[in-house]
Amino acid sequence: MNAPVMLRMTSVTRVHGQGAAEVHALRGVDLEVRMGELVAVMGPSGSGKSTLLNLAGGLDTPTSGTVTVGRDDVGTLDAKARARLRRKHVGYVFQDLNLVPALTALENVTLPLELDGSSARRARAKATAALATVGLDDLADRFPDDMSGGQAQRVAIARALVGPRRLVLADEPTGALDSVTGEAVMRVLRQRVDAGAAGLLVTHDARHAAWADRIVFLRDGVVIDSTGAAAGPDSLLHRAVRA
Amino acid sequence: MSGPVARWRGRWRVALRYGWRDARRHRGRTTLVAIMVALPVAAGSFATTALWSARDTPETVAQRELGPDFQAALSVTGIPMSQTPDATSHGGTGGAVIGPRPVAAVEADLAAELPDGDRLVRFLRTQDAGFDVHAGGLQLSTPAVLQGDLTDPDVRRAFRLREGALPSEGEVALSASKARELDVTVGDRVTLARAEDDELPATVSGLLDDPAPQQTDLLFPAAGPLALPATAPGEDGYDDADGPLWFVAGDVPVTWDDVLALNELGAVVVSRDVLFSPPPVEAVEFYDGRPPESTSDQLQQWAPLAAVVAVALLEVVLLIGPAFAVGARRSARSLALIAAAGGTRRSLRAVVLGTGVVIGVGASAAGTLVGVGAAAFVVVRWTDAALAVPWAPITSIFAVGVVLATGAAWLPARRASRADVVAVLAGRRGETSYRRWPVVVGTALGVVGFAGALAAGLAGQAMGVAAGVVVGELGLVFACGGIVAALGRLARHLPLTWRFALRDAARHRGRTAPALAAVLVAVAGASGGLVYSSSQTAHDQRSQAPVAAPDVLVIGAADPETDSQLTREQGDRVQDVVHDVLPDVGRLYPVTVLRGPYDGSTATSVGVAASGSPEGGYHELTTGIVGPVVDDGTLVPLLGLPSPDVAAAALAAGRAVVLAGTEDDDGTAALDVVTWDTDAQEPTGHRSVRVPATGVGDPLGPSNANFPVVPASAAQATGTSPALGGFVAMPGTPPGEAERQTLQAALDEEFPGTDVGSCTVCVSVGADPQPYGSPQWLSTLLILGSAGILALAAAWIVAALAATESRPDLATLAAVGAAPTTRKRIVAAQAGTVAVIGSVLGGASGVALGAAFVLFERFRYAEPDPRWTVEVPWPVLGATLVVLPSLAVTAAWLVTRSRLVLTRRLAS
Repeated sequence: MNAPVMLRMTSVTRVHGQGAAEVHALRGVDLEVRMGELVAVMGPSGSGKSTLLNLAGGLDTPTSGTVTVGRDDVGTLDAKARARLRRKHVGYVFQDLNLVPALTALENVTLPLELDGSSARRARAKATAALATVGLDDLADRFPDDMSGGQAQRVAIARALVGPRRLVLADEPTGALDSVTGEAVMRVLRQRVDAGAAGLLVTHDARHAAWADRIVFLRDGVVIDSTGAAAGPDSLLHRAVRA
Repeated sequence: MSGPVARWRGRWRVALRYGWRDARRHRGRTTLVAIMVALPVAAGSFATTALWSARDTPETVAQRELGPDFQAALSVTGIPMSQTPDATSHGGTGGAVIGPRPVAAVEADLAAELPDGDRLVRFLRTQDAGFDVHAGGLQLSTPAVLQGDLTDPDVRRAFRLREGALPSEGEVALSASKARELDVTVGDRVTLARAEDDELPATVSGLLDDPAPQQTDLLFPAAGPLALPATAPGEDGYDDADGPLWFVAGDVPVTWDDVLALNELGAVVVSRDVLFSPPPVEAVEFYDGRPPESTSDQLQQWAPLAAVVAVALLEVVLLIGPAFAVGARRSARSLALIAAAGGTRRSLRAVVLGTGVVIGVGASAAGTLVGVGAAAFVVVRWTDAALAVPWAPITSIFAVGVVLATGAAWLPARRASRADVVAVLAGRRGETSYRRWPVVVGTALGVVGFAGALAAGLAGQAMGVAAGVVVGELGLVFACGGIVAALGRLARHLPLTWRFALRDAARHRGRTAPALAAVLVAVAGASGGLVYSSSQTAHDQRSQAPVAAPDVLVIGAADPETDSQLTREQGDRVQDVVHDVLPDVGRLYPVTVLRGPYDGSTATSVGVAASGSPEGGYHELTTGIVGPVVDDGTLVPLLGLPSPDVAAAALAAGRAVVLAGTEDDDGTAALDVVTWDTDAQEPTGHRSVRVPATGVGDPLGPSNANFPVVPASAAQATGTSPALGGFVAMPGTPPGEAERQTLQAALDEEFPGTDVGSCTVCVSVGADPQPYGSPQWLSTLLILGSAGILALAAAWIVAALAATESRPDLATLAAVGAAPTTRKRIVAAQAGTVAVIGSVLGGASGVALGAAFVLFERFRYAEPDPRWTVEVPWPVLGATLVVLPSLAVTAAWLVTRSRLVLTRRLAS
């Protein structure tokens, strides 16, 4: 794959707490995600998956090692610059409660653009286009409370990739959805990646990981395996268990 | 492009949108906050609009004094005058007396100084001559009366009629407002009375628009009851309220230079031109030696009020702060999502502040509308003033409301912006650790503020006191979080519920500290108010001098024309009248006083040489018998002297009785005997006689109107002769106010010739010294009531927030077997924790606060007033510290449900 690297993590370590309370969330993790590539991260609870996502989006900084998004070394950026990075390049999709309840679907999608200083009209135009790509432009004025879980997740995906943003970090985006809705959300995510974005997906579910181009297995903060497209959910599960 | 300005705009667009929606989604909380913001804004807008409407403007003064057309109004005195541009103040320049002169001559001179084209229109007026108007059973005393040629076209234009016509002979026009008071209308008959045998009936011909020129209540035609005096001014030479008055009719303005020329002739001039174009201050001779009040003086005057308002606004901020805190806490995930979408700390702060701005703008707008609307209604409906809305101050008050709401949201916004985004997104509490500097800075500010306030009080500096009080309170507010944290460490020795409550309060200082500060400030205000109120009561009581013991009837001669003494024959008549009116009065004891020989123009006064002493310097005038009283101890119980046994023994032993502190160390007191020329009001002789004396009572007061009470031997030593000063009696039934008035009326009839409202033989009833104004229990109740409501509101807020936020912890307690009432006990303890800490700290700081204001009162003038002492009402204060937390605990217990709503725990 010759597409440019959107996310590169090199020997990344993250230690929480100190002394007796010290926890090594990640230990020397190396990872690359290229444009047009969806990488799934699997592993048991406490393996460091969420920490990996937080570091990738600049919500957290590594204890050692480097995290590069585009050309920006996240570890060297201050809080303002990391916030700018998220406005410009990185979008998050969480398991649930992704949207700000006081804002409509359209306003949720315009959020990063408006915070970045776009005019209201331009932000609305881009957000409407983003909603259209996930098939929800007709629900633009709905509030999150009036949407289904799947619709809310698709809005979150639209927000994650609105404007110039090209890296979507998805943390169990289907965890709170039924299987059919979950499949639909994964399809949208896959489509957006195929359209040129880079995606990093954290999931427990092998069937959803199967949507990824590559799967990385984490345990106790260490990448224990990495593979290409899965042969099927069962094989992935067996591989993780054996490791 | 996304420059800083564009980002700022985008940030606030999102913030205000979020704030608007958040305010609508949480209507209960929004309403609570909005009411608390709107109330002070409405009160401020109402007061400002009402005051502004009542304030004079050139238009209102011109209308009131001159009507729509007259250029000026002139009245004359007998000396050259200087005046303020609006003529509200004036005085003689010290020039030669130029009156009284024939009215025609005065008028000719005045007319000569008028601008070409203007002319004088003469009226007669009276206001102080005791003119009364009767209609039915209603009476209007001393109205403003004008009488003049009402056929003059200029005059007819000036007096606008609401109804009817201008009067002709035998008629009168009344101002519409006075007609309403008298309940008369056009065609009704009224009676004009100057004295009992000088009555004149008249028909009401019309009702004048308010205000008529010169605020005329009654307007008569030229053939009216007032007679043109021979001279202007009248015989007294200086009275410009009765006699001729001239309006200037014409088209040419009367300028300030014209006014100065007319002043030289003894005229006081209200000029339309000068009202609208006043001269510069330096051109006004009247101000020479009377500089206008300086800014510093004004600051000194308003500083204490400003401090009280500032602390009250601080209280509002503290009360609504927790509401924003809980709002921010509940919005934590939304804020974290905004952060994940690229929001900076500023963005998150703006989002929380946005709610404050939205509610602040809405509530302030509503408060402004209500305040201005209510003021407009009151002004238009119940006053004659024109409505004036001062938009600049109103806009400032509106801004204060917005700042209140935004300020209350500031700390929660700041705290929310510092939350750990990763922790919140993971479903955990994202509170960051608390910093140490606020408690250090707060403690320092508290100490410096209160110490400064006390020092400023000792220096009599109002600004310093005000600034110290505000800084001290702010310091305590800052320190609240640290104080809670420190007390949290002591929790291990407490029972479970209190331990839980105290530790919870310490862990969630962001929520606890504002509510605690609100209780603290409310109790501080209350205890400060109680200290000041108690001190003022003590001051008021010390300022008085009872005329006799409680319920003793006192009849004293009070006519300066007779040197305040009664002849034997007058004494007999007094006794007859008293026995007629009050048959059960009992024995009337004659009271002998010291007087010198009185020949109608020379009087002698005798008093203790008490220069610089409290008695000589501070006690206020009183009624009763004009002393010194001569007694051998017999009358002591009736006179109400302090330490009556000591006083009676001293008098029996031939010693004078004086207020403690006015006698010398050698057991004597100097009696000053001063002879007065009553015509010239100048002393003509003075000698001092030293007599043995005993001091009784508190040197600070209260004194006694009869001091000094002297034995006969001392009376002889002064060289004066005893005279009858009046009588005292102790009726079997204490005389009430109705009996006193009846007796006074009978004595006025027996001894006529006095001005209205005064008496030559006066009746009074002895009473203990009372505080001025409202009774102390009422002020205490008001202070404690308002503070209690505020404190309970704050305690309730914190308890409600704690109950909501502690659900997971309470669920854990329930899971390990805690009884359902445990929840009630814990919430009650949480309210109690805040109430106890706030009450204790507030009580202590309030004493300092009150002391600072009392010290300021004591030292505000060049000569300290020792009657002002710091009086701390310990029993009331102690009871407050017990009752308030008890109420908070009880209320929280009663309003909390014991059943716990099932809690969903978010996975991390």
